[in-house]
Amino acid sequence: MPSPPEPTGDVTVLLQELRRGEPGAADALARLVYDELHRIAENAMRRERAGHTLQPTLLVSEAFLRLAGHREVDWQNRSHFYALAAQTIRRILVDHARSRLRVKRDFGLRVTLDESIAEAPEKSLDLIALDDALSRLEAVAPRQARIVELRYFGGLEIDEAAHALEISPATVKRDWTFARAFLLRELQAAT
Amino acid sequence: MALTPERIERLQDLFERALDRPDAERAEFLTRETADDDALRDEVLALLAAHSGAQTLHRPVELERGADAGDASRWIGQRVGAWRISRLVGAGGMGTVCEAERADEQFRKRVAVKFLHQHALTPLAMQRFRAERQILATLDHPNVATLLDGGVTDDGQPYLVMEFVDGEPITSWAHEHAHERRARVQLFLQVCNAVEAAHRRLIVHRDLKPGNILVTRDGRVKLLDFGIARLMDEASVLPEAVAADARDDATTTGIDATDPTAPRGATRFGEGLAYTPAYASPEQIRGDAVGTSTDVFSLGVILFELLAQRLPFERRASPDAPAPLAHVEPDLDAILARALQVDVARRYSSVQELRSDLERWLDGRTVSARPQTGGYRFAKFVGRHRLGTAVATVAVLGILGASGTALWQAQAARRAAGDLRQMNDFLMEVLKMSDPFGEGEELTLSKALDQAADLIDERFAGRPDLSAQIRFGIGESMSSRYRLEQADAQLARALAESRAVFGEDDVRTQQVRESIAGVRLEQSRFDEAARGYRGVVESLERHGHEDHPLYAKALGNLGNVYLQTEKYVEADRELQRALAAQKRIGAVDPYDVAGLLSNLAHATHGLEDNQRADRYYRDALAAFDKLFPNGSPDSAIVMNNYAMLKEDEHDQAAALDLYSRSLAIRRKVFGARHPMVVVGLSNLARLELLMGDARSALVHAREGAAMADAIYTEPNRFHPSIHGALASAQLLTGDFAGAQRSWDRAKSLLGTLPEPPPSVVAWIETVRVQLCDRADAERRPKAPPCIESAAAPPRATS
Repeated sequence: MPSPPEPTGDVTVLLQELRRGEPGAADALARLVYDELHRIAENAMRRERAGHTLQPTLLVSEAFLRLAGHREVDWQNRSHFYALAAQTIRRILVDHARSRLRVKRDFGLRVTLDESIAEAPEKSLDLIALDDALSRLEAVAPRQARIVELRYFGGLEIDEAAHALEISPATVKRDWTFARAFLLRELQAAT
Repeated sequence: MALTPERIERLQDLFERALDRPDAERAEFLTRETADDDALRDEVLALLAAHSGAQTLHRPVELERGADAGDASRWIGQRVGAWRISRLVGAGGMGTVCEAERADEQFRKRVAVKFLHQHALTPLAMQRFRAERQILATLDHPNVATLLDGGVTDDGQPYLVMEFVDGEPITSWAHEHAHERRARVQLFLQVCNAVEAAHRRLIVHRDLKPGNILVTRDGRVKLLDFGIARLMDEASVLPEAVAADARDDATTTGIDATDPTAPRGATRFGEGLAYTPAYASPEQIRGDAVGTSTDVFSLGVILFELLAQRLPFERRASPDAPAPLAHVEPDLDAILARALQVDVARRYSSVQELRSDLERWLDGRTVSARPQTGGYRFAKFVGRHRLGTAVATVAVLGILGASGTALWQAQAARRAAGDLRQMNDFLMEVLKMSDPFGEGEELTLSKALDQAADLIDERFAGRPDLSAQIRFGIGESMSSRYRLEQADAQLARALAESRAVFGEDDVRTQQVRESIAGVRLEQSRFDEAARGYRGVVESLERHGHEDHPLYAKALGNLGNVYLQTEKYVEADRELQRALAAQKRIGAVDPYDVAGLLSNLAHATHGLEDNQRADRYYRDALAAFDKLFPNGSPDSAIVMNNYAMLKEDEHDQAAALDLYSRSLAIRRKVFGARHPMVVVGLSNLARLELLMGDARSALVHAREGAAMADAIYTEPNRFHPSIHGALASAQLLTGDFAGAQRSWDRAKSLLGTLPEPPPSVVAWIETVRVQLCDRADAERRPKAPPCIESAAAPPRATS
């Protein structure tokens, strides 16, 4: 396996630019984050022989540490990063699951919802079904869907998600409770 | 029915309101609320079912205490994966460790096999175990015992296979092999490296102690049990945590069993179970969420034990019991005290910080745990020279002498070295006379420096070249501690001697002049300061020394004078020249570049060239952030000034945020009594007044005014300014008499300024008008300020 190339852009600078609303910063950052997360996720999946277990928090943290290094990034910037990473992880995982589905015709990538949706390890969800359900939710309740993305794919805590979306933790908690029930019901209905 | 935004909103509303009710009432409530829309009611009921269904997933797993893994005999001779167990190495709270060899004997390799206790084997624990294994596999560090393999035995017992470390605990190894303090610190640095590497992967050890830190025969440190403590804790605490969660919060479904307020990177589960009391952090004992700081604390305990040869805590009365002083030596005591802070915020924020301080100590440099007074830095430079390396010699020359390298080249090397020794012996003697680290630090060191003046005459009779440089060094030190009068006296004599010995236009003489101009600047004698700096610049130009770093420095400081007197056109001009000079001279210290950028931001800001200013501020902040990732006085200053730009752009919220962050750094860096903190308080109070938050303003202004009274022994613009802010805050909170007193004080302080900046004058006037308006409104008798005739408040552009 070729050694991963060094990240090219400066994530801290990009985050600052993003906050100031500079054009192009979001795209550049998204590319950077996507590449890095992809690399880490691929490695993680290769390492794990039986089944794929990814912990979103660890995935994102690792990406963040690699990209931002040891520099201190202020909280707002970190939130931006995590929000972006959450979206990216969702994309990576779902893409991966779909490609596996094409090849192996199995259930797709099984992700243990370790840190978020289901605490019990034996309860795995079909990621593609979840993604579909989440897309349905997104169409009618974008804020709630975004919170799921942050919490589930990004591994953000309530407060962190609140920071990232600039809404109150109470709202995040309420939305999260509702969205989770909604998704679980959708998934039950699908099986 | 089709899902629409309106419908989902309605669903969520009903869902939440139903959740607030007891189970039994929900159906009735929904029937009532949904009227005849049965489909809606059923949907909400389905959501509620899904919700409570999830909840049942989190019921505590029935625990069965199976065969005790602590009973190791049953493992001996058994085969586990590719390994055959040969003997028991140890058993502890988390599991059992056995020694094993490769079963197929393809090659002999000794490994340690670690079994987890049976009671840890809940499904969740197993899940974590796998994840943990994955993390550990990524932690490939020479000072961490390598994870080789792991799995589950046929009868369901999970195990880890680790590199077998043949070594002894760090404390006993040090006792045998590392007697010197330096050797012990060096050994300890290996531990720091390993823990740092783990923290970068967000792995917190949580049970660091000598028993987990082994040293091999060749002196290599190996850390054991990374991540295990956390794993074990989670397993054993889970039932309780989940039960408590279900009890406390009906809307929490177990998904939020982790503490939502816990910071990222903090280990959230199982607070307070698997730790060793003597080495545990206060937060760990309290059972709070713990993060990487907990390892910093434990490292502090271990270092304490290594250096003082005893434990800081034999028995702690409470988790918050402060650590005793180690009494090893002042720098190491300070480092230990910082690592062992009860308050996480005051502890080293990372292992990296602790390690760098220890490295600085090894190098004989200033450690960050010590208060940064000029005297202390001074002592440190001398301490460094004592080591006697060529590099250190030149460094001391640079500090003491006007142009060390010139001296070095001009004189025979042997003689120069002898002179240096003479100067440094002398300085050491002076510094030994005082105990700068004991009680009344400033006083004793200052006294010692005062006495040094007489000693210089005696010791350096006939060597004005040396005494000039000694006096220059002492004067600089005094100046940096705001002992301006004493500094002035020393520098005046240094100048006279330098002129006589080296000549007026020698760089060494000019360096003393530059330093004197600095004292004038501190004394707010701006005209003299500007004249001084200009003189230095011209002298250097006249003699072709434009490539000497002093040239850029003097230009930059001349720009500073103009900044302080709010002459921005001139400031911009001089600072641009300084920047050009820096670029031309090359090999520019990134710190100087950052400082100049910050001053340029200030100047362009003053010119209301907001676009340029914004760019310079950001560049400066980025430059300082890069230099000091954990915050620095400089970033505090830039934040302060950037906040002002934000104010100009009417973004008060952003400004308040920057001011507050700036003040927090100031407090952290400078402590309770410092001009830098006065400035921070002054600005925060002023903005709070503008924003109508008189109560907060009163708190900050009162603290700042008291601090200013204690600190400023010479006229300073911030002194009247903060009293003005106090007057205004008092007025707005109904303390008319207090306001009048504070205004009087502000006014008289203003009178002591030789050249009061216009903005301060305007500010005091603004407050006077407020005061008199209020007096009129309340029909109070005319007070003196309203009878005599006396705008936007000034801002502290520190």
